[in-house]
Amino acid sequence: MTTLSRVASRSVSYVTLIIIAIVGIFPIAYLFLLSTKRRIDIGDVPPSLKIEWSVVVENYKEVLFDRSYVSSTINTLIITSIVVVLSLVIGTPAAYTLSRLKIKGSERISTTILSLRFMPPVAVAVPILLSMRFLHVANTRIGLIIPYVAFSLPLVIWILIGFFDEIPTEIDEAAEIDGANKWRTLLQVLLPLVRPGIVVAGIFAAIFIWNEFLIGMYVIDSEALKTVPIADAGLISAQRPIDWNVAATVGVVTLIPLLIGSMAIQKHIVQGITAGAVK
Amino acid sequence: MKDKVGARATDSSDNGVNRRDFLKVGATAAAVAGASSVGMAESASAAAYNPKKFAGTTVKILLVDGERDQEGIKDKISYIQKTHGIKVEVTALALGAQLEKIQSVLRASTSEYDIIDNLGFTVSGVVGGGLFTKLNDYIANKELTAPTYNYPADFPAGQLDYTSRYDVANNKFGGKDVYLIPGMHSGSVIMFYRKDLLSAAGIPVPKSWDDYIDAARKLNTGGVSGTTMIAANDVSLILVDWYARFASMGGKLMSGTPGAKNYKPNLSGATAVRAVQHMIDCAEVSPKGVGSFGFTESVDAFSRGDVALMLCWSTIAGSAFNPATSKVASKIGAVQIPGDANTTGRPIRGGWGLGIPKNLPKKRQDAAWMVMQYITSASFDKYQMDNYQTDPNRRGTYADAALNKKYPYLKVAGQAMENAKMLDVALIPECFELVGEAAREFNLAIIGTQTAKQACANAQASWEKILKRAGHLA
Amino acid sequence: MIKISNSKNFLLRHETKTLIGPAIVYLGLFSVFPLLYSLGISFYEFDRVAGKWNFLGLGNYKEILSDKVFWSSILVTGIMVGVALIVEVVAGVSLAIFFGQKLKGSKFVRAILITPMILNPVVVGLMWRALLNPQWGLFNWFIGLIGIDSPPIWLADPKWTLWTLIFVDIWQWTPFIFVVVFARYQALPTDVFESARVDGASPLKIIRYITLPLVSSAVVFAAIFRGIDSFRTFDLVYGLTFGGPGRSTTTLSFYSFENGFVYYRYGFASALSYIMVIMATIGFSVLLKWIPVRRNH
Repeated sequence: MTTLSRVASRSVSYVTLIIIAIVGIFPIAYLFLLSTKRRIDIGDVPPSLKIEWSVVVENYKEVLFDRSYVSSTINTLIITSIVVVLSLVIGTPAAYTLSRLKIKGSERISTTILSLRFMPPVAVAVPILLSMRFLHVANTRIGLIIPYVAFSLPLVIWILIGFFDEIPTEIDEAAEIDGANKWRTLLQVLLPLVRPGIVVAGIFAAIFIWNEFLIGMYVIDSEALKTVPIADAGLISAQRPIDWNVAATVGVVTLIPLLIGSMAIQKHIVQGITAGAVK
Repeated sequence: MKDKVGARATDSSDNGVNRRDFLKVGATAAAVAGASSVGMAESASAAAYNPKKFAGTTVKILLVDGERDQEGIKDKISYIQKTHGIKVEVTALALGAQLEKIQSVLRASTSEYDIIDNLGFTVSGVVGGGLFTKLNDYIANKELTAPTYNYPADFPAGQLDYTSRYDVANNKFGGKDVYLIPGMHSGSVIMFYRKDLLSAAGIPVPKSWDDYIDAARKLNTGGVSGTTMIAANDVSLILVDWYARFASMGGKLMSGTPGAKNYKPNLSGATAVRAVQHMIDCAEVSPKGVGSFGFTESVDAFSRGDVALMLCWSTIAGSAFNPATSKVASKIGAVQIPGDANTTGRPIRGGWGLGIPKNLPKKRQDAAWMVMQYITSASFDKYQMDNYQTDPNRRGTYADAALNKKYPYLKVAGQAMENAKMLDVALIPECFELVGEAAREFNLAIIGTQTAKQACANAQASWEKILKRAGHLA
Repeated sequence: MIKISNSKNFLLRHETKTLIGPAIVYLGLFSVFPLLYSLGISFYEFDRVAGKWNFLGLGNYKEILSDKVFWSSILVTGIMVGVALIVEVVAGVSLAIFFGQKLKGSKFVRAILITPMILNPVVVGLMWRALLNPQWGLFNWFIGLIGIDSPPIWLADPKWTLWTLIFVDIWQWTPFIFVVVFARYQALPTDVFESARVDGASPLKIIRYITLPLVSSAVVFAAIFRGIDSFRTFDLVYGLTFGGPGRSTTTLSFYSFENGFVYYRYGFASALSYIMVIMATIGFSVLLKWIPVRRNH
């Protein structure tokens, strides 16, 4: 390629990048802007860029405190972390087994585990609700954690099977010759190699659990235990108009920690994956 | 004496055409009842109101979220602690979750909640299912009920026959047995209009549906739409806009009774079609895209000043008249919905009712009543209305002079509560399904995919299918 | 391959049990059991007034097969899943390849691009309801700038609502495909690309013969997962159109939700869900015969 065509193609690339950036950032910018407005300003098209700080304070105060988004974010954080950790702890050895241990019907087992994800949440919501009540953990964090782990396991196992498949089996054989049993092989030899997979599986599990709300709405009653998606349900009511500005504020409040978190994690995903890339 | 006045109030309200000014009756009833019961309390020897009788107990209340029902109670928790010595805990759940919770709570061996708020549409199911305690004795119990309670006179008569009294044996609304007390809020539909636009065009406030569409057409100019509606595929299409027209046009939705398996819908009749057609006509002078308007979009359009006439729940009046949330707060008025040829408009009867579950030990039930008679008292009703603008439950609140000064629509909302008509199919649990089906068909007619006649025929067929499946129609 | 000698058989099996056992037990208790319970419910219906369950045998299933809405919802679901998936895969892969170029600032843009899929479903629904509002929605304002003056009513015109829904779904989930494929892309060894470039292969040829085959496993994985999920989700429908107008956006999963949680016909809703699962399982098995899902098998 000549230098000129290289410059040209790079310019095109940068322009495309900028367009993608604009398209991507537009909804977030809109949310931000709306969260600074009063309810009554919603009809202004396009919304004015002037920001009245008193309104901003009022909107955010309402969302963070009156609607307890501080506590619901903390709840969601706690629950999501526990669910992700548990899913990884239970799922990693299972994925290891299904990926490389020759057990009868491992193909069928892994496909069955994946198909567990086919079931729409609607159908399992009632049995799960009843089971949680039966176990007396309805309206507790455990009552959410138990079904959420069940939801995440298929996803986690499937991602990890994919990563385990990439690792050549010679490594296992070498370890076996050295006298290691399966658990040791897994923990000491394979785990470091499959770490990027664990990170990816954990992140995806977190994303899906973070936004779950059907089961949550029915299991959790008390204000103090609400997770963010459950708290969101309070934005919509049959007899009061939707407060668009408050909804936008909710969007911003729930998005910012995730954005910051994801920017931090991005580095790790990339590092982890490229580091773990088996030559 | 109290009884006689109360009875008179009831009679004059049931007689829908020639009505007394309910304000006079209500106020008189309250004054007389208050005076006489004070007299009675002083003369009674043993049973005197004993607010602290259940001090030391905890009462748990289950409400719905999103309507601000819990706000007043939350404010008064310390007050109740002080005057009654009772600790109150409030749980407010999203509607779907609350309805589901009620089902499981009522069927458990012991109810988790002591007071439960029930949506009017669910009353026939839960009260009819015999799951709530009869309250007649509690109301009459002078020790547990404040002397100023004034039940039933201070409540709109029609509301008592919806979210209060029920005939379990015959599965009918009304009768003598009281199972619920109206609360935490009621609600009906009223008409909002732009005073400035109407007077500028020289049009009087519409009193009939023909006047309404005429006015809307004339006012549909200068960047303003004549009217707006809830025309989206949403149950509110039926509850707010269609039923207001249908019931006021003299329509009778159902014939027969579920028990006799001859519960037949009347949706393909002339009145139903006329009501749908009226909405189709209104759509032509509504903002573009009205077919996607839910409750929010409709109210927003009106509050922004883009619409001249609107039917809506009286509860939104609070925000429409508030300059902080409405650009036209000072330019609007509220009246009863139009009627048909010299009759009064009959909007839908909405509202909730508080009850005490039967599956509770007696002591908890008693303590629950103690709290319930406070949160349905006149003073609390006024407090809740003044601070959170939810629709009052009591006539006294609707008539209160100070409140009326602050909230000029209050009197109109109260009149609507006297005139309102209950949705007939609230009698059966399939209520939501039916309303949803009708909304679906009528929405298609309003956006032009089918005619009013077709929509009504489809809805009729759909309803018959559901009613047959449910066993209410042979 | 790992040799399994007889003397180690017992140990192996015992070890295997501890490795995979917890997962199997957990899923058995909290995934399989609810599914079976649900199957059981599908043969009954709940009478809300009497508070008891009535046995219906195959009654629910018979009703479903003769239900017009059921059949239309299959069509709606098929169109939605099919179109959305294809566009999402194409867009996601393209984005992944695009970001393969090391452009300055792309890390920041990538972080922003994933926001659609991490926003809460209620917020997404409300946001698009606002953007698509016929009076003051910014979407119409924006396309008005490009010259489209009389846009359809996105959320109320039955001809457009399904496409609007698909559009929002694409907006929300393309990032998922992008992230998965991009992760795989970044892990690819660079020497293959180097040698191809040295050999003078054009970028398009590189993409077609080298990149795509190498990331194909990730694409397949992402597509399958996204396909399964889009088959199941109802929250977009719930937030934007509630199945309407008419039944133009009623997907199978929304119909099941509506019957179960709005009309309280739990038995009917469970039966609907089971038919969904049966269909999905059959479709999935057919798919597995064609596409190798796992590489080393």
